[in-house]
Amino acid sequence: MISVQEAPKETAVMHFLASLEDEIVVLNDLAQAAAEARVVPPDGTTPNGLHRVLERQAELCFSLEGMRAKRETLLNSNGHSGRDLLVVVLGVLPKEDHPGVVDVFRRYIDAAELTQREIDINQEFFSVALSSLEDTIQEVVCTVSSGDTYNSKGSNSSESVALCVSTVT
Amino acid sequence: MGNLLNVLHIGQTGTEAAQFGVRNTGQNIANVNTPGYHRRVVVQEQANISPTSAQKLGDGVRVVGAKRVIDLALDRRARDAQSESLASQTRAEILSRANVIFGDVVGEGLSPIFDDLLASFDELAASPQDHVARREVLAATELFASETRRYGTELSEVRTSVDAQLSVEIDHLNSIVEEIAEANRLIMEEIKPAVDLLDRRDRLLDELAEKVATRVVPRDDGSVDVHIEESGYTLVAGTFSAGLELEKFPEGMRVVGYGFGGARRDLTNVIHGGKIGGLLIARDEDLGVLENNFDDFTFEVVSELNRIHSSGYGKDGSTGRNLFKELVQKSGSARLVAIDEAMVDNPEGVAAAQEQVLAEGGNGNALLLAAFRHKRGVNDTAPADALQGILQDFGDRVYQSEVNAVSRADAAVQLVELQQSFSGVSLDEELTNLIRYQQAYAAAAQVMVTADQLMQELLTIKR
Repeated sequence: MISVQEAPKETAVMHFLASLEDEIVVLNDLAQAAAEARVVPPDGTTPNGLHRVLERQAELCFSLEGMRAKRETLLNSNGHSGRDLLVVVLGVLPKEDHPGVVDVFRRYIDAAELTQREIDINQEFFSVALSSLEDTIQEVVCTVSSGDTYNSKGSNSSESVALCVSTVT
Repeated sequence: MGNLLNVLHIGQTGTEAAQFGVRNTGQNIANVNTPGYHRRVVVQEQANISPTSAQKLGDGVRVVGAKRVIDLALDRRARDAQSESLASQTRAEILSRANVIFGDVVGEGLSPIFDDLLASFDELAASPQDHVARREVLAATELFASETRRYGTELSEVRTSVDAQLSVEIDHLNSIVEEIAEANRLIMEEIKPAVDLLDRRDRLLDELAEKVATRVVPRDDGSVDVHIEESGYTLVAGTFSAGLELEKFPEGMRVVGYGFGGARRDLTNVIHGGKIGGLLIARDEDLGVLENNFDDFTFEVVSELNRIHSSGYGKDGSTGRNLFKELVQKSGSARLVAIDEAMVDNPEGVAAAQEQVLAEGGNGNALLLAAFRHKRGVNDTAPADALQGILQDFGDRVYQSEVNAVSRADAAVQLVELQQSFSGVSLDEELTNLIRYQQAYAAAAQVMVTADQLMQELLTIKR
């Protein structure tokens, strides 16, 4: 691990590395929140339901985007592309610090790939869930639209059908 | 490759969980009108997720199963209330059938016919020589006898029809207890019984309670024992069942059980609740009391009028003749009453005189027959009042049974509604759930798209 106070001439580089460490923490939080999204109740009525987890993910994405933008702005102002971070850092730091730098990058990439994996899973998960849910709603609409179904309290279900149809559209 | 397969597996478990939840909601909705269906909720858990190890994150989600939303105490109360309601309803239906026969309205029915008989004695006392008055006595006697016989016979037929209904209901009960025992066997075989099977057994228990009031005792092995409430008689013990039988006894058809030991036990007087309970109350307590009272009344009227009549003298000088055919026992009197054969078309034989020498024009015995109107008999009441009392008592029973049926039905409806509000499916609620899921999943899908775009950008650092 490289200390950010190691040498004054390398302050900017150290800042980049410190920022990456912060991003790793946020990425791990995002991965965890993404995994959690698949097991929390989707009803939105419980304190830790899906809506809360989604909000958390949005906040984490917002933080990550802010960190990334700040990093790229700094690199761009020095005439580098955002993709050149590793090249820039290795160019500035002495060779003996390179293993530490590579370690930070390796952990960053691991965290990012883990997060990407969770997001890939969720993309498939929510896409299929949404699709089968809409199929079910459609089936329900067809079932209850027959006109003679009543619930246990004796009320007709036609109001529910109207609500369902209007919400689907 | 292994990592990719793992990812796919995680995705698959999650997708299956989501689909299970949606299918469960769909099933709840499909069964909104299914009697005995208990709403189900999905039980799922996180599979091997360790918050301390990022590498182990997201191993997936596992569906434990669907759980019935059930309150056993509430279910039992609703079942008992339904049982009592059906008993009251069945009783009211039977009494209503009998009331068609006995329903006395002003100016119609047996009371005015009896009054006409008593009035004919007054006429005879006033004009003992009058041939028309003598004919009137015979006509009134014949009408009273035939109408009483008709009432008695129809009442007996209603009771016989109750026995036929009892036979059908007992056959049905026996098939239900066998099915419960079989359901017990299937449940005991499964380590974790399917909720459908538990629902099916609950429906059978509900159906059984519609026959008789029962007490259900759950066992540790998942089976239930079922006893007839307050009798201690066991209908179902685990995988064994012991039904009931309808057997002929000298006093009539009785409901008996042989239990598991084979000893016969008469359960007629201990069964209550359900259709069988209602039929037994109507047959033995309501119609039985009515029939007994009516037989007692008929026997007393016939015996007393015969006693008076046979001690007098007819215009033809005859004596010792009964007005009615003699009845040997109270039981069945109403069904057997008839004018004495010797009196048919024999107005001269009507014994108006108290002494032989006055046989032609005496009215001493006619006065005694007329005085029968005031004789205190059963319950220290005059005969006409006694008949009115019998009919009034029955009318009260009919009215009480109707009121009881309505109030029991109301109570049962309220309890079933309460039970349904807890365990039943609310279509509005389930549809709201689906829509809420839809909105949540749509929002989640959008968040994932945004996150994916961000991650693509972050990972450019790797290139």
